[in-house]
This record gives sequence, C-alpha cells and structure tokens, in this order.
Amino acid sequence: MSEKILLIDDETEFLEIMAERMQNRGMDVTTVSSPKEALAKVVDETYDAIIVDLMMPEMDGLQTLKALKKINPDVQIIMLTGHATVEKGIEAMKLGAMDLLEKPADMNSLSEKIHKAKARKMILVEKKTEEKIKNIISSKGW
Amino acid sequence: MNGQIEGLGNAGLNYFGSMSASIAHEIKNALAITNENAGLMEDLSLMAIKSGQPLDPERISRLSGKIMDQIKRADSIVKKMSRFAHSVDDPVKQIDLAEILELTLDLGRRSAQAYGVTLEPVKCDVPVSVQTNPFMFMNLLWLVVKSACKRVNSDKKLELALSKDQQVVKITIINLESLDQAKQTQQKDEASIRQEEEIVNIASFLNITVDMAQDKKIIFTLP
Repeated sequence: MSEKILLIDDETEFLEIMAERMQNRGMDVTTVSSPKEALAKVVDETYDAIIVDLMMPEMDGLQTLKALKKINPDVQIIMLTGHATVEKGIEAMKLGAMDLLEKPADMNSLSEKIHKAKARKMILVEKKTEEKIKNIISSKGW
Repeated sequence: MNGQIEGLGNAGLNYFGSMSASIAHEIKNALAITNENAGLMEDLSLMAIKSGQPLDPERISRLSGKIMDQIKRADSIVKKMSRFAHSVDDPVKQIDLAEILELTLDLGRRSAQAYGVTLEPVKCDVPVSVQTNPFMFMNLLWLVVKSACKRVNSDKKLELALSKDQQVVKITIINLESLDQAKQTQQKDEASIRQEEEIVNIASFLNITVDMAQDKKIIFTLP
C-alpha cells in the first residue's frame, strides 16, 4: 500500500514539484500552502507522515507541529528547514517531530524517513488496537 | 572594533543578523526548488530509460525554464544581499531614498509576512537623495516598519510614500489603525519598549524626526 503524505510549505512551486516526485515513487500526496489548511485536513484525515516547512508566514513550523500533535498525538512529522539551527532542531524533536531534514532535501533520504514514519505509525495503530481489544475483553468478562 | 561597528550597537547587530537569516532562508528556498526540478528531470530520464519511451521535449524545456527562473531569483537575492552588506562601508553617503526604501522593504518582506502583512511598493513622485548613514537609516526604517506591522489596519497592506516639499523630505507610512484602536489591541511588552527606545536613539543619531503619535500614520522628516 502506498504511503499517504501531507506536505505543508508556503512555496507553491516547491510543493508542486515535490508532490510530483513523490507520486512518481508511488506515494499518495496531498499538498497545502498554509498551516491553517493543514490543521483542517488533519481533523478529517489520517496520514502516514506529515512533512512541514519549519519557517512559514502566519504560523511557523514549530507552532504547526504543536497544533498538529494536539489534534493527533500519534501523527509522524518530518520537519523540512531552510536554515536549521541546532536549537530549533532540538526544540522540534522535543515537541515530538520524528525527524528533521535540511533543504535542499535528498529525495532518497526523505523517502527513507517516510518509510520509517509509516512503520512507526503502524506500530502505534497496532498497539492501540491491541489495547482496545484487551479493554473490551476485560470489560465483558468473557 | 572600529567606531563604525561600535556605532551599530545591539539594534544594528540584531538587524544585520535577522536580515542575513532571512536572506539565507530565501536562497535555500530557491536552491530547494532548483534541486527538485533537476531531480524531476533525472526521474523522468530514468523512467524513459526503463520504459523505452522518449522524453517529452516540451516537459524538459519547461523544467529547465523553471530552473533558470530560480537561478534568476537567487541572483536577485544575492545582489540585494551584496547591497545590504555594503551599506556599512561608509559612515555617511549620498543615497537615493526611493532605492534604499525599496531595498529595506524587499529584505523585510518575509519577516513582515510573519505578522500577516504585505509591504506594498514605495510611492514616490520625485527622485530624492539625502546624506546619511545608509545602514543606520535602513535599520531605523525597518524598526519603524516592524512596529507599524503591529498596528496595520484590517487590509494588512502597509504602504510607504516618499515626498519632497520645499526641501523638506518626508516618508509617510499609511494604512495604520487609529491610535485608539492600536492602544486597545497592542500590549506593550519588554521587546516593544526596547524597540521604541532603539527608534528614538537611532533617529536622534541620524537627526531624523519620527512622529509615531499621528493618527493612522507615521511620519519621518529628514534633515
């Protein structure tokens, strides 16, 4: 099954071209150019990975990361940055980002991180399903 | 350290640092798009080899056109960066005011977006030149524009107009909220108090009057 990705960046040309390259690799990509649109998408949809630009107008990447995690704590976020400082990177990881990649990004490294994100998400989903089943069994007393 | 650098003070170093970071980010964005376009050309070539289908020449031409656009974009950013870097060369210099206003706004455009504000091109009817310290003038203008971004009116477009009337040169920032509205919406934190102090200090050093107490506008009067 293909990876379902949400790509957030205010540079629309970057979004278009990245989406095409990711689709060529069999990924199912949705693009949005503002964090607000992204937050609306995440309420209704689940994604294997969300790729977020660290510096955007309106709301920066770290604020977006916090807001996305608030809606869905299990969401796997990869931060993309034009000027990574060590402090920002540490802050992003502390806030729950899965990984950080510097622009211009290498497509092979990004694809690898997306695969890892999907695997992590599947483990989390499996754990939650297991817990749900355990809860049902214990509450019914079968 | 020479006198010129000491004269920049903390406000100057902050300005130099934040503009340099913003320029670096813009260049990185241009490089990222160039990288993806080149990457897509490589993808298409590999797909063509694999499938035995020829490459679409129009597609390749469009992609190389996009790469050239990004090279032009990066080149324009680097030219502005070079003009900005050379603004510290001379303590006093004759400057074209419209040009330096445009450069200051171009450099600050991305930072203004963080406030959701668009900086409109400068309105100027006559060419005006003045003798001043170019870097400190840009620093002063940016500090005032940044402060104005917090009290811009609901259309979120900040406009600057340059005028000269009988040797009196004025720069007017318009499209601001009334002072009463601004008092209600703005909180005076430590950073904004420090910013106001920096504006007063640099304006006094450059002998420029900055009247921020006007309703719906800010007026600079140059010597």
